[in-house]
Amino acid sequence: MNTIVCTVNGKKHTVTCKQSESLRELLVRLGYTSVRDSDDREGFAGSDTVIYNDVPVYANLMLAVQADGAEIKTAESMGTSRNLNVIQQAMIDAGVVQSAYNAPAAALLLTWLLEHESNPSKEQIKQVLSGIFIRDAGYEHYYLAVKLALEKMQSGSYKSEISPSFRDELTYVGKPKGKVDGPQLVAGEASFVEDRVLPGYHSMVILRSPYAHAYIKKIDTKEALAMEGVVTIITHENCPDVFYMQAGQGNPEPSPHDRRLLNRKVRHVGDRVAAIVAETYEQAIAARDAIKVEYEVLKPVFTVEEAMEKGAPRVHNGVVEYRSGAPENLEEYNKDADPRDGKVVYQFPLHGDIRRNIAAAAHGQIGDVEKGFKEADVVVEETYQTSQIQCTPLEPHLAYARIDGGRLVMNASTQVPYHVRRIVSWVCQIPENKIRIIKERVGGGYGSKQDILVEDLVGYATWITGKPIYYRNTREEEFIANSTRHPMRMTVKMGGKKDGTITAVYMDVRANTGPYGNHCLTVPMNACSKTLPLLKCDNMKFDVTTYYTNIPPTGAYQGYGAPKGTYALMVCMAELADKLGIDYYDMAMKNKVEPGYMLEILKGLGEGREGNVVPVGSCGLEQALTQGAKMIEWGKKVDSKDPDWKVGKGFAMIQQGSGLPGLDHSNAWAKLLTDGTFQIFSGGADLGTGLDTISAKMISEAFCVPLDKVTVTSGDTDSCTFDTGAYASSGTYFSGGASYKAAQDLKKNLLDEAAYQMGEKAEDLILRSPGEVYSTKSGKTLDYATLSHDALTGTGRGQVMGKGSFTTNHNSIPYGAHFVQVAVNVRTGQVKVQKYYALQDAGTPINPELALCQMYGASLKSIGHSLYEQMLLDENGVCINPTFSEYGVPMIAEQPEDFKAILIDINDEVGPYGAKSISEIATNGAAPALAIAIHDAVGVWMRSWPFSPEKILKELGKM
Amino acid sequence: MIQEYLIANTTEDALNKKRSNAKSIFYAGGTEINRLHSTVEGQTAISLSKLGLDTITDEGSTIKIGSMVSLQQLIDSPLIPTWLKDAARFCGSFTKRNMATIGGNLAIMSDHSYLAPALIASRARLLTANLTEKGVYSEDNIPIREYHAYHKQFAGTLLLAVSLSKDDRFVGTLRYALSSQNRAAVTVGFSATKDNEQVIDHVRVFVAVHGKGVQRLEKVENAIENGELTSREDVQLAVRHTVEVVDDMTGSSDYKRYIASEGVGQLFSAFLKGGAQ
Repeated sequence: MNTIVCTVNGKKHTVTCKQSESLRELLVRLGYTSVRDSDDREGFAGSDTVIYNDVPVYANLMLAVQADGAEIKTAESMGTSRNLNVIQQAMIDAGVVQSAYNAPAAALLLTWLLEHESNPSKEQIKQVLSGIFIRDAGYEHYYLAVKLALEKMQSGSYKSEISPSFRDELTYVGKPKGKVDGPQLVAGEASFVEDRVLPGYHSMVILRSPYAHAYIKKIDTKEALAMEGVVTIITHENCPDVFYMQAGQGNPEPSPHDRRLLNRKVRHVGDRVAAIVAETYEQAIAARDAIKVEYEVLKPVFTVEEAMEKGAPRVHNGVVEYRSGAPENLEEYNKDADPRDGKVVYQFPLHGDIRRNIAAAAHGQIGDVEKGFKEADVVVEETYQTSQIQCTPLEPHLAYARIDGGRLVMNASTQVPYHVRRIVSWVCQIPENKIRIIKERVGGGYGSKQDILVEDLVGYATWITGKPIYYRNTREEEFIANSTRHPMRMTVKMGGKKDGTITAVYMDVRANTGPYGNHCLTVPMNACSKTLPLLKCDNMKFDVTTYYTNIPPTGAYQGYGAPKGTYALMVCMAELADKLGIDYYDMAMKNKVEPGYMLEILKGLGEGREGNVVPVGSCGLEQALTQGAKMIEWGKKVDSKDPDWKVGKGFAMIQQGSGLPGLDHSNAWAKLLTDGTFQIFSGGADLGTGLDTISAKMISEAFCVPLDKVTVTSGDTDSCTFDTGAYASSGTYFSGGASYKAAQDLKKNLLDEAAYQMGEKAEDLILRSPGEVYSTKSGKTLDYATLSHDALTGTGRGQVMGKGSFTTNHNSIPYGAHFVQVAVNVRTGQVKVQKYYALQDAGTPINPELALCQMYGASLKSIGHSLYEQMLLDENGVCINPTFSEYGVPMIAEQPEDFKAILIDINDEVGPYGAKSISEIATNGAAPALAIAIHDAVGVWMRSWPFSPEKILKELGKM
Repeated sequence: MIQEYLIANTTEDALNKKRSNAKSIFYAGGTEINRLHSTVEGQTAISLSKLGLDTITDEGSTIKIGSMVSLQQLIDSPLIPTWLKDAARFCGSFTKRNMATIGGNLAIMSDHSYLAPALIASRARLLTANLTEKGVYSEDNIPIREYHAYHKQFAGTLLLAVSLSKDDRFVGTLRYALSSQNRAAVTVGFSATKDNEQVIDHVRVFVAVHGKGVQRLEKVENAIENGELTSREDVQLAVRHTVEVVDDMTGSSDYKRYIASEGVGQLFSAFLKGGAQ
């Protein structure tokens, strides 16, 4: 042990530290919890950035003992949430503070920069942020944040436009007003699950399978259980015999219940073998190492092709059950079942056939595709392959649970608190009233936190031990035991006439769901349901088949199946245009849907049931295409002046959905507090995207009060009402819709109460700024505080409250087009993204600054998915690149040179104040646009992700 | 995992501490030693932070770069030639560049080293310190290629400084990775001189190949010097036949072979055209 003296944020500390302790660990121990860790000491993501003797460093890569005599600044050195410094405020105002796990570190770096450079260049900002990984909001608005800060410092106010504003008649909606939880996040104050963990907690670690496919023959935990501090070890032998599904989807889920907490059969490298709970992390690790396991190793399958082969090893070979709709031959089907495999329980038929590794399948069509192909002048049929992509949230999957008042209380980082409660209830076999889930701020989810990947085990372990338990995935576990993007093989056949009319489209989607069937029907179907409805074509058919394999698990990821389907469909359309000798843009304009066009294809594209056929509603597709084409100068060839670099352009039409009509359901309620301020309780789960701000704006807009008069409580299953969760682009539309309805109900009730108190008719009363009721008849006013007080006196009529529930069968589809210009080096295969323009119709963007940043973030991450991100497995199924630097994610250096996000102004007829969804759709454009641009540049079609230099060189015949 | 942290007060003290502590290592920036999955094995860290090795000085005909100079200092210093700044920028993170040192990067000599191919190709010299078997302190000035060729034998040697000649010499370096902070598949360094009669001499070709280490392509060097390889295509073909490669997560053998040859070829072409020095 060493005693050192260091100064942190101006405060002198004399501390004793172990020689192996990292500087980050010391700082956290001293209470500077803003110094976070998202890469397990890799020195990549920058969550651990501090200023050390006036130089930015990674605290994880320094020893604490080095800090003797040092002066250190952490994010706590800047302003607090109630007194932010100029750059912190500018970051919130620019919209970059979203899931915000790295926002304090970024603010610290930019504060440091402004202390050293009074007017930093774009290049200097880029350099300073080069060691910070931002997945959610991209980097573009960080430049804006610095600009705003400088303007504020120089003139006392912002001069630059933060974002366009929408709907002049509204005050808060459609205006950049900052994110209500931005201050606490950017200041690095307690916000996340890890900040809620109290001393005395127990640690859980997981023993994971070294094999991709094996039966556990024997597991011996005796020695481990006897070790100091060990509380319990859960294995397949003592876990509940309950089959369930980790996907957080509406109940009954369109995913099979094909797993228990721990299974006798392991199905991927990293699968759970045992969960160890001990008093300390070190004790849990030591016990994990003492567990002895004997495996019967089986031959694995890794690809769709391998899974399809006759006689292929069966990933699931247990008993199949149906909760409804069981086929007549089920008994016969189960004759060959191996009990060691457990069960696969379908909630309803999904056309699965586990004996052929098929987890689910779906088929559908409109018109007559064969007739359509016969009518075509040219038919193209190509196969497109996508890779397995990691979500890489900065905050890994984690949970903290304890018993309080006989109930299981869990702090979770989740997109679906109510599904967490339901699934934990099911697994633990305890009623929901015994469980409380508190959704904390989510440090990045992107779909992977739609799945209940750690809460199930933490909940059960806490329930049976009665101990407070904290579990956190390592970064490697994030790669090998987390939901990822399904790899897919999509064959698209498309026919077209010489005039560019598409006569028929057929999509054959073969998806790889990995070891378990999370989202196994819905993600692959999404590859069709969020793409085919872009086209005005009478003859369309799709076949979707999802296979079990032994790759690491897959599940939900931002965009769901749409990024993959869009890639296949748009590139095939470009290939068809190329063969027909017509311009791809002209073809898109000719075949795109228009408002009023009846989307018959949706009938076969419901999620496990018949879909709703609706006409195209609000639609900004044409504006996005025409504006984007103008911006990129479509049709104008660009010469790089360097013979090695060829320039090309591409684009893709995109769409998504706004939640799941007929399936999703959101609720909210609101109340007037005694001083005339408001509180709204939303079931929605804000995962950093600004959903709470939307709820607050619903109240502010209705009652003409500023946002700081509104408090939002969300995602707490005790105080809030049910919401299906933040997925499928449902947040703004459904949860925001419920908040809108709750605000309107509260308004109605408040006016009724005001009418009673004022002796007026409610129809003569209006609400006006700064927060009062005004009679247009008598001119009398009543402020909210007085109204509330009088309603709550001994003779009052009770608290003024409102509630709202939102469901719909309407399909408010966001549309857009992404345009790109690339330069491709014909000698090295390198691709430079020179220009990227994302144009999207989000209806009324309620938080336009946040919407823009989500477009930048989603576009950049899909550029990464398209060009370099890919999980690589060896021949045994071991992921060989389970770190950031081996896997590769886009940093600020990877940003397109000219990057623009444009909001197309379209008002929707159903969404709250005309809003539709925004962020998921932005992941759909990059892959097809880039592939088409690469073809335009060098004449090769990139038909598999990622479009790496090596693949491009191969296509070019260079190697 | 470091269990003990010692601070050396002099270079001789550092060497003595190293000798008297089994499983000890010199501790420069710490970015490699402390990082996840570090390949550096050591239980005792001997800090070099107090030795004054963190300066860059103009020594007349040479530039002396202390081994504790950070990669960011290289970029910021007006004394440092462009090629070395380029190499330092291969470390894509500013924050990491503030910590990582030139000496540490050389000492690791990793297969994805930012600096090694360029520095070794540049014919820099290294100022080193050692203890004799009897414990007598000595300093030496050695060609950097020796440090590369006999790297394991220098395990106990303390790097004091890198000395760059100001001679008229072309040096270039290129890195091939999927993104700015991905592991590099290949990093190449090339240098050569050309006299008034256009005679090419002092050719150095070094290639860091992921999975295969930092390689000197001596046959290619000799062939260029002998006039057997005169065109970019000649050089590329020779590199392709010479470089050792392996399939791994950064790319296939074919790709690495191709891109290494392309990189060296590009630098050779720039050299022939009288590219940047």
